[in-house]
Amino acid sequence: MKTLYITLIVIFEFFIFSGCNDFLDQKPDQILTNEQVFSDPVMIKSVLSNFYGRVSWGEKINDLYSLTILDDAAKTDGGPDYRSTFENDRWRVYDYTLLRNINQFLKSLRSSTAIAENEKQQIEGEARFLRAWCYFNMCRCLGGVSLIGDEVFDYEKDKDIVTLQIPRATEEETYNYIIDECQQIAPMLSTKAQKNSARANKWTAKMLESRAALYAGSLANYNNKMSSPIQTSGKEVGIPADKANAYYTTALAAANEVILSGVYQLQDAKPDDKARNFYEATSIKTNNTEVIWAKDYLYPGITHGFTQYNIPRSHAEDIDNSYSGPVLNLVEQFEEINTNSPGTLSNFITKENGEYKFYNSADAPFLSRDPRLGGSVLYPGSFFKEKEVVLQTGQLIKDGSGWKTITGDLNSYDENKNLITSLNGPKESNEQYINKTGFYFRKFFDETPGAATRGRRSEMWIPYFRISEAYMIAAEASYELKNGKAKEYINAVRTRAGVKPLQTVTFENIVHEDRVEFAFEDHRYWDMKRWRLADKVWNGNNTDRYARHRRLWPYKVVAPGDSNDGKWVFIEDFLFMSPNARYFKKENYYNFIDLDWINKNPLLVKNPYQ
Amino acid sequence: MKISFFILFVSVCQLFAVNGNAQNAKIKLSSNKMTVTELFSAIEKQTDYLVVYSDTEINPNSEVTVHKKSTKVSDCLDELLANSDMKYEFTNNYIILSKAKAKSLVSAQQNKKKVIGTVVDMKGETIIGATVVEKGSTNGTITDINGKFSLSVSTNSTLIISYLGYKDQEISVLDKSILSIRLREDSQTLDEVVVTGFGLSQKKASLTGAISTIGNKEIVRSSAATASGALAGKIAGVNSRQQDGRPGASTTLQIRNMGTPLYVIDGVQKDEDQFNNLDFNDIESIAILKDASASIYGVRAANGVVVVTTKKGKLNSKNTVSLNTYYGWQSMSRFASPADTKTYLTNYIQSETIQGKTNYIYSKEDYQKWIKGTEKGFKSFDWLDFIWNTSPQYYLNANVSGGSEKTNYYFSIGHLNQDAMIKNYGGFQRTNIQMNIESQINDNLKVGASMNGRIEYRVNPGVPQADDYWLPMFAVYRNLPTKRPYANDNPNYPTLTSSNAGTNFAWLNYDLSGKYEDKWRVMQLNGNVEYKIFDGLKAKALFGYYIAYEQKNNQEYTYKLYGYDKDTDTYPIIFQNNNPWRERQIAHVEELSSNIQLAYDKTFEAHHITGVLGFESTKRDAPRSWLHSIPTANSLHLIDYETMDTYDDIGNNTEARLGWMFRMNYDYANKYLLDFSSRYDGSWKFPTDNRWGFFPSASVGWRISEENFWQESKVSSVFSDFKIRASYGLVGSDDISGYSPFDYMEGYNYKNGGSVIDGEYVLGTVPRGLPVRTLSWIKAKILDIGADISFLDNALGFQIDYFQRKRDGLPASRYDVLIPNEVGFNLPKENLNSDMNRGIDLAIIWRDKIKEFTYSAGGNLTFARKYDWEQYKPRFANSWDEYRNSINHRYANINWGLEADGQFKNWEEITTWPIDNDRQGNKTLRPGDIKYKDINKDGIINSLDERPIGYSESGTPILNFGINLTATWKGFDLGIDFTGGALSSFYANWEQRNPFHDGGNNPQYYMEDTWHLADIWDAESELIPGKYPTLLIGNSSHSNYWNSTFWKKNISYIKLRNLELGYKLPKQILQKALINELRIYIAGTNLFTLTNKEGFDPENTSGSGLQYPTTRIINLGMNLKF
Repeated sequence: MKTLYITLIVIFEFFIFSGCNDFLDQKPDQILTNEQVFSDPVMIKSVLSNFYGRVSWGEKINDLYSLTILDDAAKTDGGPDYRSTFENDRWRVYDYTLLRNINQFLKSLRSSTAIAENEKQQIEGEARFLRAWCYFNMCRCLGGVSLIGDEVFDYEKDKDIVTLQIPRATEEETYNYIIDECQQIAPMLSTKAQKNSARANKWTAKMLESRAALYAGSLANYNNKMSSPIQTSGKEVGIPADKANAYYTTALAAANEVILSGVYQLQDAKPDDKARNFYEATSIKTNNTEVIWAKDYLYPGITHGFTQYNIPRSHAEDIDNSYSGPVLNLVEQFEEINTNSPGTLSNFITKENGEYKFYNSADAPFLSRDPRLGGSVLYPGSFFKEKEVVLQTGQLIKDGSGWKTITGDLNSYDENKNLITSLNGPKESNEQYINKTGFYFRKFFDETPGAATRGRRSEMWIPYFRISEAYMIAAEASYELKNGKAKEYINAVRTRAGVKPLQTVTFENIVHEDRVEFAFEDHRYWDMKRWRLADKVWNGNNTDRYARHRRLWPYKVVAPGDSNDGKWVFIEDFLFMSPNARYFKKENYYNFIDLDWINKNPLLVKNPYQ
Repeated sequence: MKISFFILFVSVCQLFAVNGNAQNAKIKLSSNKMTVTELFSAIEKQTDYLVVYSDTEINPNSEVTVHKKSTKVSDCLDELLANSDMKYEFTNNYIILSKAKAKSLVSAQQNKKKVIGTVVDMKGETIIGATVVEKGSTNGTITDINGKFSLSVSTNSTLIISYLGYKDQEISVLDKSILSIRLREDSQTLDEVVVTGFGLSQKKASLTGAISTIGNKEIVRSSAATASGALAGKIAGVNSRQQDGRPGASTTLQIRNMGTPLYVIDGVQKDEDQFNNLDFNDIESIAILKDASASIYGVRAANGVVVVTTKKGKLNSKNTVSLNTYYGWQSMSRFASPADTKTYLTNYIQSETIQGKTNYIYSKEDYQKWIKGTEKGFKSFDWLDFIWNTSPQYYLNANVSGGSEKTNYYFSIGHLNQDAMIKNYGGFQRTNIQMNIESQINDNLKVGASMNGRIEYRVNPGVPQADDYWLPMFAVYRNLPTKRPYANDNPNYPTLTSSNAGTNFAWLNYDLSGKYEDKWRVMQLNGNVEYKIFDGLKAKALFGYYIAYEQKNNQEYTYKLYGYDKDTDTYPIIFQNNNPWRERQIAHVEELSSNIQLAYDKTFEAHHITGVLGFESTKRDAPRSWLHSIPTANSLHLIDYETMDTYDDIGNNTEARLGWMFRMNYDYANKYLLDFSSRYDGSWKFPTDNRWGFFPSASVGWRISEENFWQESKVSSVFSDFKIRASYGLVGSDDISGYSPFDYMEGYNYKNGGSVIDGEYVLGTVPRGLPVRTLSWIKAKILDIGADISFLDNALGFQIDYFQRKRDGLPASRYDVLIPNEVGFNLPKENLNSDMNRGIDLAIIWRDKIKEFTYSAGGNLTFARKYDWEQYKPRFANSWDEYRNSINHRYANINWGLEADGQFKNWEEITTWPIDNDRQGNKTLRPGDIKYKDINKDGIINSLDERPIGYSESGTPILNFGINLTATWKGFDLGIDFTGGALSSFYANWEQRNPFHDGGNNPQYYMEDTWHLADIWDAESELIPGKYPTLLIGNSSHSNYWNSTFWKKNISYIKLRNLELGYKLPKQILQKALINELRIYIAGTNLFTLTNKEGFDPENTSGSGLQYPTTRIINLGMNLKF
């Protein structure tokens, strides 16, 4: 009897044990096999969608404070921001994981039978475009990088790792690879505009080709004009000067092809309201003819917080507001329409003959400027969503025979119910959620109700390429090639903007035009680098007007009986929030090659000054 | 009272393993001459036996002589009875002395007889309501108010006497007709049975592992909402820290700082949360398995195991109903008040003066008005008082327990309500049910079932931020004392009080901001079967089913904030929040567990063997989904598809584990103890060919005090017990950081990233990285060497353990296999590194009795330090790099910083100071600023001057201790628990350090003690020293605020955690109301704290101080039994 019991139990346990491995073989929820992915066009698109989601780098509006790194905007959230120098890995990109993923994808895609050949061409073209774009983003911050082609590397224990070591290509080879790839894939891609410009087409490839060639051309050109050009002996950094013209020619040709295609036009749907027109050209997706490629957002789905974080307090829809705002350094770049020196900045006049200059309204000093200002920045007295953005630091009141300023808490009024300080400030304070520069963003601000709430956020897109860049590339390349066409291209952009055409085009005009046209669009940092201007402008000098952030604060005159009562004065000053000037050192022209990368691949060479 | 014919001392200990060689039990006598009573009481104290005799046959006061002081009981009795006509016999757990012929006389009689008796406790007090049952029948009664009973029984029957809180007694009636029964309290002694894991238990005396236990009495002396809080400071080897005191918050417990332990509740593996939310009145006992003895629980046991046994009814006991309840008042134990208006304004204006502002925000006139504080618009406001208040906590539990001959049961229902100390802010409620029932179906088969269920409910207003308790804390500092919550003080119109609209507490309530609710419904059902195959061998099976269901609903309303227009007497809207937020989370957890074992237990002569072979499996699914919608109106609470914008399906997250276990335990004469166990475990995390691991462990013990040489020596009169023990074992862990289940698989990951293409959002899919096939178990090698010593007849107990746990196989990469970044993947990690935990824990307890005054004093201490141990081929660029960054064979969690060296006393000292103290040539310094030691003597203070200055800021402290005092006198009882900790660090930051942080306030203790100007309007006026540097606006990056010993302090503390004073009402009064026992008590929690940490509870971790403070609770409570 006893034996029987024991036997039964042993059998029972054995029975359980034999099922053990089945029991431990659980099925994951989110892992698919290669076959599952490449037998289904839906899944192929899903992988492509992952890649599109991973290719935003550099200065970008969906990255809080990203716009405050340079001299266009400042942090206004809490106390001072002591930033001055540039990190040696600032905006560095080295995404070989993405490159490997794309190559894995290409390899399987090419052998997939689930989709038609022409569709396959389009998808392969897009994947290769994203790969080229990734190389471009790497090359503009690091110089030449290792080119791995279509290779999908693998590793098994004890494999000879030396075979995995790939040296850096030269900067020239890297740009050439990008340009070649773009030229090869352009015919594979659709020539039609894509929905919200979210996917790559032929013109996207052409734009990348054109931008890459322009960058390479200007590096060949301006680097060699430095007293000591930045380069490595193996030319991982540094392109020979004699290559410049060829690159400029390539850039011009590609840009011209995009312009001539007619698929995109400089949007000028509201010529009577140029400020609005510029805003719509950059920031409204509907009927947009301007944007060639953008990162798209959609609610519900994926949204970002640019509007939510930076919206004026008076327009806030949630607790968040006023995390950062543009500085005077950018605002003054928008020239007076009636200026005698078109194509350059116009300083603000706050005093005349040692006396305050009185303006009739808060927006008066801004209305007379390049309408793109109104499309890019919310200034005192401007409107957002049909509601005024009141910016008032304080009052200017009589003090005996002279004047003095008074300020108060946010939204404070004097005994006569005159506003002292507006709800939006600007105000000097180390508090969160208070404007301190006197300006808010406009470009890429989302007017949709709820776009500034935490629960919804904004579906504003982030353009990578616009048709006006094709014009500006063509203008710059023409200027450098001295073919006489620069004026024609740049004036197309200026005319659309609503400023005087240029009679002659100087290098300074191009620098200026790029800054105002592409503010907040991740151009300035890379432009300043390729022109080798960054170390000259961002010189770390705390008394330099252009190296350090400045503010422009509006005060309303409250002096009953005085002829200036009700008028406005402005006071310019360095920004308390940014005590340090931007300081770009020569070593910042190229990010450092991480020592860890060199450890793992001794064939990599360091960058100059590293 | 009539003198009883027989006096019976009866006591039975509930042994799992009965000591079968009774005659060999030894006793030690203090002298050779004594009375019969003294001899018998020595036998009773030192053995498990009680002596039964008739005082007409043996004169209890007659003197006897025993030749050996240390002798076997049987020898002693032989000697004693040599010249009498008495004989003795060992039966069950008592020794019966009777006349040699008496028995036969009695046995001749048959039929029924009447027995009368009295039941008293060891102090001689009568026990009312004790159950007296004739064994094997339903025939029974209970004792009356005088503790007496009368029952008609058959002559050969045995009576079972039981009473809650006392050990059951069995006595055979034989020829006795008047019985006097003494019940022994169920207290902790060497006879205590300790759960050693996997359903096994052992006498404490023969234990070889480092296992500490705690019984129900010590646990319930707490008003903590969670079980972890009730354990803090009571057990050696447990490190604890209560970081946060919010309603329903738990205390972090770690065994010897090894990480989160495994919890096993009634044999089923559970998690911390399940343990915390037991009603701890339902817990019978807790055993803490601190060393390799935990290994029996397999792959999740490497951090130690907490084994919980819930209460069960007793066979043959009267049905007892208990009611336990308390009502308490909670207040903040410690929280630093924000600075008042005067202190704030003084510092603020002073800062503007020093920074050269002329455009003062507060004018001289305004300042004076604020100081006066009477004029409208210049009255200051106490935000702390506005937001925080004293709030109630109450608890009610009712339970019924008892048992018949075959079946025992315990049913309990309890409810706890803990309100937040934030005004009208909801809180935490929990209702628990526990049902345990067991039945002996026949001689061989026993079945049982239990259910443990609860409903946990958390509710508070639906305020912004993920953590709804954060804003009310932040608001205390962020709102200046010069701001008032309502426009024109009209409570209908909350206004904007700071630049952050969320900080106005006036709208953080159910009406204006919505409602957050989180409800968990949890049920654990267990069924168990035990079958006795033959004497000594049992088969047991336990099946558990666990289901937990969560529904979380949160709705945050849109709201408006108002200003006031004096002229029109209107309230214009100045801020509007348009973010209606509605979310819902539905989750459930389902767990199936089984545990099947064969258990063997046998004694041969002096050999005692137990063995277990078992098998265990668990499978867990935890699907969860979360959705978000934007309701179109605040009044709409139902979610519809049109307003929903996110539905996130998190998936099943299935876990599956299997394990085989074997354990063998051997002892020889209770002297030499040996234990061996092993596990063979499989986990779903690993690939098929690499998922099983084998983990053996062993322990030995030696009870030196059982040896003859010891007992015959003089030391035996001091030491009543002396045992040394050691254990060593290997415990596996599949909890590997950086390794997710299925990391061994290739393919693509769905639902990863994504983007908007073609105008629609397309979820992404991404290729997976290189499959990881190089990682396997972490192996923990645990060593423990300890001793258990009792002195003076067990009055003083002492336990000490040295321990060390080395974990091998922590994941790391072989950095010398250099995979270039350019190939786009990382080398999979391997089991390369190791870490180490080392320390000691000790416990000491003194128990004594002076007449009616019984008292005990206990203390425990745990010192447990973690080290990072072997690193894979450590390599450094230079010696500084090695000094600063090596973690090879070093203390873990070293906290680095500068060493502050006082403050600058005057301007002259600054100008002549040779060291660049602020890295700006000292031009930013002022008197009162912090000086740093230039440790590397290079003339400049920078990161090279940083040295190890502290410990972990968030972990459980390296050193924990507890002091536990109890006393009873007549009806009164007193319990006091102190807990303490040391060797942890606190780094003051944000509100506690940065001047006017984010435009807000700082604490009063800080602001009022700064270097300041004699005249705040005159920057040149005399400087008056203070403890802290002068506060300057926007100066938080100044050298004063660098990471140094000035702000980073090593914290030590001692707290009066529990104090409870109770009184049991005399029974004579109660019996009229048919009440057996009524105890009322007053209890306090966290009554005081001594610490070097300013302002806050030393167990808080947040540098800003913005952490819900622990609560001070005063309770009035009652325990009622009938």
